[in-house]
This record gives sequence, C-alpha cells and structure tokens, in this order.
Amino acid sequence: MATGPDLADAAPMARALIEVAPDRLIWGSDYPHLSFADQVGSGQLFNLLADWAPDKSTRQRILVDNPAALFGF
Amino acid sequence: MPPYVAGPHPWADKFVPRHFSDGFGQLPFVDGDPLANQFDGSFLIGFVCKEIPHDSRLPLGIESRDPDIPSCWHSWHYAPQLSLVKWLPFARGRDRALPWRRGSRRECAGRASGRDGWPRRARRTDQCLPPAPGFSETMRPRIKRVDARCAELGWHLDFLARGWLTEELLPIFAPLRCSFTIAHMGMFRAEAGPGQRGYVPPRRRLRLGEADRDPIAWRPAQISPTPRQWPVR
Repeated sequence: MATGPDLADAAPMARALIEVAPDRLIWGSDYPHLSFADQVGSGQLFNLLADWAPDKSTRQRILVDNPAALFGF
Repeated sequence: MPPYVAGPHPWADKFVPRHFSDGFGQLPFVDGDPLANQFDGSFLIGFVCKEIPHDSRLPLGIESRDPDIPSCWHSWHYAPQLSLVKWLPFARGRDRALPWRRGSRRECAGRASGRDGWPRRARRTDQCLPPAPGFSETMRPRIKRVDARCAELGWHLDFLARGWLTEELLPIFAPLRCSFTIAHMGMFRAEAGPGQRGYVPPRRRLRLGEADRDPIAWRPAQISPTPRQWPVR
C-alpha cells in the first residue's frame, strides 16, 4: 500500500520483486476498482512500470511473456 | 474505440474522461510505444463468489449493496467481446447488476454449482483489522474449513489482509489444499520498505521457485480465463 507522493514509496517494493522474480510477475491496474480514479489513473500507474523496470526485456517479460505463460495465450 | 468494443460505453458518464480507457485494454495516455501482444488492459478473470465472514460456513450466496462504481454490468456485457470465455464477474456487493443477473438466464457467479470448467474463486477479506499479534491463530480453524470446502468444490481461495496479518498467516497458508493466492501482494505498507517482515519470505519463495506452495503464485489451470483471441496491436 503506497501513500507517498506519486506512489514513490512503492518503487523499492516493486523493484525488489522484479529483481528476484522477473519471470513471475505480471502487471495489473486493479480494475474495476475506480474508487481512486480521481487520484490516480491506470495510465499513470502503467507509466510507473518504466521506472520500476527500465530494461525493455524485463518489461517484455512482465507485460507479454509472463501473462502469456500464465493465461495460456 | 478498439474493434472489439461495439459502441460507446454505457457507463461513460460515470468515468472521468481521462480514465475512460480503463476498461477496454487500451491505454492511450501511457508513455512510449506498446510492445507487440502487450498485456496492457484490464483482464477480468474468474472472480469472487462472496466475502466469507469469520463465522460463516461458506453459504456461497450473493449479497448486494448500493453500488458506487460500475463494474459488473459492463463487464458481463462486454466479456464476450473481450474474448473472455471463462469469466465470472464480481459479486462484491457493489454491483447493482447482481439482481439483474439473478433474473437473467445466464449462470450466476455465486452458486456453488455451475458449468463445468468455470473458474470459481472465494475471497476472504480481513483488510480492516487493526494490528493484533496472534490473531491469525483464531483464524486457523476457519481457514481450514474454508480450504476444505474450496478444495471440495474446486474453487480458488484468495486472501486479502493487511501486511501484518499476511505475515502471520504465511505458515497457515502453506499446507492449504486448495489453490490460493494473496491479493495485492499481502497489502504490505510501502513506507516500511521491502525489508519489512513478511515481505521477504514470498520473495525468497519466488527466488526458489516453489510455485506449487507459494502463496503469491497463481495456478493458471484453475483460474485462467482462456481467451479465444487477444487483440494484437
């Protein structure tokens, strides 16, 4: 649960997980919970991933390869 | 609009315009170019049957309260167009669509019996409990009972608890028979950092690859929505 400005306090948590398990993570927005839509949008949340996982190959895992394996695309 | 959405969103007036894309797998406000086959949209997988109170014997019913967000109706409506063939909508009580769905001829998410192969999930929510060391032991018999019932039904069990309780519950989760997850990564407080108690054990499990008994590992065989087709950019 992040409470800091721009969710900055979540970054170390996310990076720690990405560091140890990049092949076991997927990205999610918690849709359809829009209760906080006036504070943060899915696009903003998504953009954080580039900060947490600056390496494109890592994002490829999180956004493409891992979901494909998990859901059987 | 993406080709798999037929027309204007029926709840469009409920959304802040910049968030209009939230439900349709398109995120026009993100930075950079999307990757091919990028998983970038909301994806409603087999979802909740009911919150299970502590003293419950898993009645498997559905409650409905006044809504404050749209979710169920449009999810239900658009699921086929989003190519979701195995899908259960929320029944968290926020959805005014629940009475509507009860009256429909389609299968109801909260029933114990349903079409074979449909994913089932029960969520146990304890997210509002104040810290009370040792409380997890009071939950052990109930969790065992729910676990046994979910295992019997083939349901997936999902836990939502604050970080302090998640940390306490990890030993109780380990021997569960049913497929289970911990929602929101255990709701650990980010301000305490990744070194806080409870956050490390899952990381270690991930590192060791203990997929079968890892509380935060999903078992796709039981909960995957198996889409017919996923839009390719």
